[in-house]
Amino acid sequence: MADEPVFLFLATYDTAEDARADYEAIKELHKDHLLGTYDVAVVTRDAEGHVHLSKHEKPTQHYAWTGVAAGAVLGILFPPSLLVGAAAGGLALGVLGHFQKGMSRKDVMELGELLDDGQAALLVVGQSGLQSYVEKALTHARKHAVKEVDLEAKLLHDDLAAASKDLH
Amino acid sequence: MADEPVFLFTATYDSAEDARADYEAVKRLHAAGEIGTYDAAVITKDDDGRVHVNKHEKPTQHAAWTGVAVGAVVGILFPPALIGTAIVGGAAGGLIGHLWKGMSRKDMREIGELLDDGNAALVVVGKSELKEVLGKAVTRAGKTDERPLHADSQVVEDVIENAAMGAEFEP
Repeated sequence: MADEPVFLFLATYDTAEDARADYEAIKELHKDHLLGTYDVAVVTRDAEGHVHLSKHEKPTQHYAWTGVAAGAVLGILFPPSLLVGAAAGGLALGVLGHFQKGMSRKDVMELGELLDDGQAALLVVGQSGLQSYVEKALTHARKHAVKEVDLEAKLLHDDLAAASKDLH
Repeated sequence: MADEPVFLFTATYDSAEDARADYEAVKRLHAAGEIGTYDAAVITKDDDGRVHVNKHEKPTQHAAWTGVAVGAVVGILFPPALIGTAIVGGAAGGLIGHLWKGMSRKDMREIGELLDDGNAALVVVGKSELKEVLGKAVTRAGKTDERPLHADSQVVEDVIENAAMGAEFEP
């Protein structure tokens, strides 16, 4: 396993509004430096089953919260034809390959089933220690799951920094 | 017709040569009319772990195996970064969403793990259950699996028919 692994936290909601409310709670934790996060995004499904990733932050000089890492995770959980807009943004990058290698088929199945079950979801890609803070902050979630990805945090950091330059 | 399931038969192999030999055996059964199939192809992995769908037949005649349906299955089970086959992004693209809806997450996990386990595989998309006949024909396979996909057989047929004629079809 990786020395400094990456963690995925996925929570599902009955409505997109609930997911957005918890997104704001995570944002506050991030601002207060209580949480090490690479990416956070709200995921919604439309009537045709297409998967949308809502990017709320404009990419800054910082690599975090660009939607790239969350898009890469969605690229593993859904076929490309179901991803639209920002959700499809992570597909061409090596980030997706890192996540694919670092997750078992069992993890992919469980996260996929969780996502299929809810109307909206909040996806957090972060560092270790994430779980206890996030679980307390997410007050609107119906179900949640945490998965450790066998991926070195530094490798993801470097890839996201490179991807962030492309977004500017 | 629309409510009839599509059957996915998968066999894994230690070598691509073994998979190709069994592919030829399945082709003989198809040609003799002993099995009804939409598509069949050998899947191989290169040294970088990229997955390839090997097209063996020219789609010049009715009922030819185009690799389109097998390409769609590969497009569901592997992320784009691991796919080294143009067909998955081409004609198969229109079928991916349809077949994806017909597979459970459990199906995806189990078939994916089966494919991860072997060096090569033979994938057959059938019009009816194949395992009884194919079980005797695929003599070199390590593991085999068959399961129904809850896909609309008419859509699968239409996409393949259009691909064979060189046109892409969006179900």
